[in-house]
Amino acid sequence: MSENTILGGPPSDTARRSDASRDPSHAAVDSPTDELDVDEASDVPGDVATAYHRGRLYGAFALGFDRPGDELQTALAAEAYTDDLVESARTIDSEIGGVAAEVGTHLEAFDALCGRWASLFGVEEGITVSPYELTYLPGPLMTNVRQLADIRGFYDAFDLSIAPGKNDRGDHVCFLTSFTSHLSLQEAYLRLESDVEGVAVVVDAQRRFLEDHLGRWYWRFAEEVSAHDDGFYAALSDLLSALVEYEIERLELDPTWVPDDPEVTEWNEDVFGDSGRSCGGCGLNDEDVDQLSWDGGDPS
Amino acid sequence: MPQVENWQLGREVEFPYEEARPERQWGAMFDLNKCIECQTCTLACKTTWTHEEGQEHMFWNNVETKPYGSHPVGWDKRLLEEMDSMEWDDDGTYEGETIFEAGGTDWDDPENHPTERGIGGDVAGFMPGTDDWRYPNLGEDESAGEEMEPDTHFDEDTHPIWFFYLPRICNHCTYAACAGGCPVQAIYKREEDGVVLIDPENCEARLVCNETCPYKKAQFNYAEGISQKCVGCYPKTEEGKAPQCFENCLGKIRLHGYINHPDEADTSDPSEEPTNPLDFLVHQKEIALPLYPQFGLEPNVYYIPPITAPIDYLEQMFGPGVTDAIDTYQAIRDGEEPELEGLLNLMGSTEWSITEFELDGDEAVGYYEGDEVGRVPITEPRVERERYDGDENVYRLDVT
Repeated sequence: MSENTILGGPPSDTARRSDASRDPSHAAVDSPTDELDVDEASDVPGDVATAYHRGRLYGAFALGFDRPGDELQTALAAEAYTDDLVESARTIDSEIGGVAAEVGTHLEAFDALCGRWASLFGVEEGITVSPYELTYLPGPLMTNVRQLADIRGFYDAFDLSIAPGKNDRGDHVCFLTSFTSHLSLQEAYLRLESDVEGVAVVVDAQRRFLEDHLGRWYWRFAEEVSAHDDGFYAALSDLLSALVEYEIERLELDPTWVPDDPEVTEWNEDVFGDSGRSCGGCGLNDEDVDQLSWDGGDPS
Repeated sequence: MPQVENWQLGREVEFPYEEARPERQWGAMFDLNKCIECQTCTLACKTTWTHEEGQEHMFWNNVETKPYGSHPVGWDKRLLEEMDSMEWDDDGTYEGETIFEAGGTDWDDPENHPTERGIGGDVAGFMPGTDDWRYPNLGEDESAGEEMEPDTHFDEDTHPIWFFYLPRICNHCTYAACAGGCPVQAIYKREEDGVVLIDPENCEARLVCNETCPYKKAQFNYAEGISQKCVGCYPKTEEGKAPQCFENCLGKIRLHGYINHPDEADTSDPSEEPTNPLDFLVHQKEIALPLYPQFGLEPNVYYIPPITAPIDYLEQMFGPGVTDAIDTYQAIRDGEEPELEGLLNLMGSTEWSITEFELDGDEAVGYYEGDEVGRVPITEPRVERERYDGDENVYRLDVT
């Protein structure tokens, strides 16, 4: 945009380009490294080993909180799952290692684990504990859809998408932890390759993603799980809490906590009335339905 | 002040900045005969872009009932009352004054340039107040014309009792008044697609854009302390997808694409080869018309006027091409315009923007940059009932 036309780019971008042109060490501004100081990228906290183990831990959460299937059954049978948890957690921090050890003490027969999962997260019992971020955010679900777009934006930025056949929403805890696992493993690889700029990009993405998403509500999720379970999933959510808290401190994050509401439901009752999701939110509650008279005539 | 060419008015008009057209121009067409005011478009936009604190009053997309509906209150009526004669001559040249001309300001004086001082008062229009934003659905379904009687029925194409729904978004004007008035040049038109954006980092909340945009689509966010406006869903259109309000339109009244200047318009025949649909509608068939072209901004959202509303009202709103546009629309209904019929059926059949379309046998095919994105029958099966039902002794308004 010049003085005599309205055509062009944003003036602030022009100003940034102008600044960049004065300093040849600063590259084009339209890259994922926007707002990053590449010169300081080598100071990004972390190392190859902990990045790898963080990636492995987050991956274990993605597997552990998903509906139990063959993959988890195989891993649990060989004790690889719990061994990996403890090994990775101890590498990161001894206290987290202690929390990870608790997960193994709560293992049970696979069928029992399936039942436990179903009673907590399954539609079989109406999703007792919501694994979705949007559920925990303030305000009605209708006004939080932007968060879904933001999450999708993170996935898109790293050329990731939800796999065919995975029919859950993008804010499911399994997808969030799977994504952070991906970022951590990328970080480990880039550190091995001495790709300073690449490390800065993925660590910045971890910062933003944890601060804007998982870091806001993991503790409420853990509270909810612990309120309804005292076994494997409570221990696993405690470990998730321990790791994310460690991450928040390590990356110096300041996430905006979600409200500490005593009850969390998938649908916001204020919007849909007492009947909630059961009848589409017309406002009629179950008692009202029972009182409706019906003369037995042909409704058609 | 530079004189810039405005093809919609058939003459040069005054504008604070020199003429400069983008590489291609974001454009749209709404068929007002199809809109049922379900407000799905409004909500699609609201839940995507304007649901934060400070945006409660904002509707980048709104649908209002005409003639009595308006958001903000009286946005068009108040401006029209301020403008003098808005006559067109017989060859379609606008003889009245545009909003930048109506004030009689000497724009050649450098001291009158927008960057030198606020020009809100020099441009026809008004600054909406807080109360003006309070009633987004004011006048909904209020009819104009004659009184309704128990035995009222309409035989004429133009109804004696009438209203219609007018969906409105930012027109991404070629000569955007919001950008033209901004004293700090924080509003710009993108070179790649002509979308008009406010740069949030440079906006100083002078609010001149709120006043100079005659369509009142630049709106102040009191929580952020900046003005905001429709962004044309550019993150979607850059990927080839239609904007939110288009994709979610239940009535399938909307077409998104790119429009050329008439001198560079696509003149191909869609029966023979892929053709730019907006050029076809606007330049070739002249069935889609700009909203209040006399404001002088060359808006880039085009409307097929409703065939049941009075011509004089529609001409005030869409210019002198209304009668011909309605005749053409009637010809579509009579099966005489298969290319248009196919295109109007193609609208809303795909989430993609449509940059070309053509007829293929008895089907219309839409493309986005060469890739097929939609295929529909040109003529859909239709059953037409008698207008007068003798058994029930009633007239039907809707016979199809």
